[in-house]
Amino acid sequence: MRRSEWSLPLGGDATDRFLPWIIWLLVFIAAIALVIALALGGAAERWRASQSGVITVELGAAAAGNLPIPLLIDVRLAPTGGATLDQVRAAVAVVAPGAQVDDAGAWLAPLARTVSAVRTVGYGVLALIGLASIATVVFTSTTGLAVHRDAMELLHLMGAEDGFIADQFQRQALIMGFLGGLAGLILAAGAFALFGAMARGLEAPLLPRLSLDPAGFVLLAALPFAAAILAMLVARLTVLRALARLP
Amino acid sequence: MIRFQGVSLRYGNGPQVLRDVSFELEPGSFHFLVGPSGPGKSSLLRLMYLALRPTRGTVELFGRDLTETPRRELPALRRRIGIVFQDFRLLDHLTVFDNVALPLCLAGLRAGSVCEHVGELINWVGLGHHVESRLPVLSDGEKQWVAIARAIVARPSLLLADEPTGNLDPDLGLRLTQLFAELNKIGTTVVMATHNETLAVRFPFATLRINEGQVAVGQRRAGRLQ
Ligand SMILES: Nc1ncnc2c1ncn2[C@@H]1O[C@H](COP(=O)(O)OP(=O)(O)OP(=O)(O)O)[C@@H](O)[C@H]1O
Ligand SMILES: [Mg+2]
Repeated sequence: MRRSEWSLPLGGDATDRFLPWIIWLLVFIAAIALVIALALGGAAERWRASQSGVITVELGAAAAGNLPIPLLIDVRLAPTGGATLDQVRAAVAVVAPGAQVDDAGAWLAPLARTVSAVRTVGYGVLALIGLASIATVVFTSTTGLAVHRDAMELLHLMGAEDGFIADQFQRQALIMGFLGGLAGLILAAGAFALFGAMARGLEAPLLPRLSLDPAGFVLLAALPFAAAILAMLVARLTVLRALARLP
Repeated sequence: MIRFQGVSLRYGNGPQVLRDVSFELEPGSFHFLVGPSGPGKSSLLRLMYLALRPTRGTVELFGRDLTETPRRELPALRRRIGIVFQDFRLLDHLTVFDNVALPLCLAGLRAGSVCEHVGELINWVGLGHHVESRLPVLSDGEKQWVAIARAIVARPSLLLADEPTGNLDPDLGLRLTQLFAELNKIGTTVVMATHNETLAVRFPFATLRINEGQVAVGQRRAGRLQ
């Protein structure tokens, strides 16, 4: 009966195993929302980049005649040192007086606004999910800890310092929060692998590619840590507040 | 050791449990806290182990006025008190060993000879075969012994026991009281609440009689059996 150190699992009562399940679900949803918002933002960005500097030349009926040329021509301007819109317009007017020359940006602008609006909505949804997650973790932790009131009061009466008691419960919350968050993240990764496989099977070019930049991966990987730290802080504050009310 | 001055107690808007009570218990004394059922024995002990604040009056413990003791100094005072709760208050998810070792853990003691001490004590109270058992498998009588072992393991200077013989048969109740008497001999101040006055009269200790909100301290007298 020798132990290297006293560390009793004082907060390890089985009653708040509910917390990791809630966190699991929240991290799963948050991960999916995050990936979609980031990927949507990335896709919009790539698409706009591919379309900027494109000029559309629309040839009038006179020029079309029997000539084997398309009615619409996309002209891609070199990013630097190339012709300007006016120069192209002048050049086209010489060979095809009736032709109309449009800057793609002109009709792209409202579309780009739409895409950025969608992206803003995506981030908004993400923020809401974040707030809902925080509220849920706070609520679950507080109600979970209410079950431990007796144990808390007992330790208090036996002369445990407030900080010591808080440590016991916050450690438990940290572990539970992290395990739940990790499970949620792994399941989200599974869901995206499935989605990717399905998208490839459909060969549907219209589906946006769900690729993330490194910053996106960092954000995603931070989710379980954020959940764990949140659960820990809530546990600590809840315990300290409950103890402050005891004589 | 314990001094009550003009102490009144009531729960919320309920009736007064204690009415202007004053008394003093000397260090090294042993008192049986007796009285009919429900007059406030547990409440009086709760005031002594700082689970309650009096509605009026002052409680002094170890020579300190508790109303004037800063909050951060209370845990150290509490660690000098061993408590046997009427309802045990053991931690169900811990083993018997860990429950008994809890006060040592709170005192910041590390493993080693301390562990053997815990094991010995558990053997002594007859639960050697239950050292690694969890609490729910124990009978009420066995839990009572775990609660007692936990209360005395850290050698408290004040031992407050609320009906510790309530779940024991008369022989074991006698044996328990003898154990408390032994601890008292080596300096522990003891207050033991009991409604079993036939047990109390077998020991030469004073009584603290509580009735209708009043507390009367009796004299130490010669016991019939010791
Ligand atoms: N937490 C509480 N809230 C309200 N009233 C309480 C509370 N605890 C005790 N009381 C009341 O205070 C009175 C004294 O209760 P207490 O438990 O101290 O008596 P007791 O002498 O220990 O009883 P018993 O012999 O049953 O152990 C009772 O009338 C009880 O109803
Ligand atoms: Mg009682």
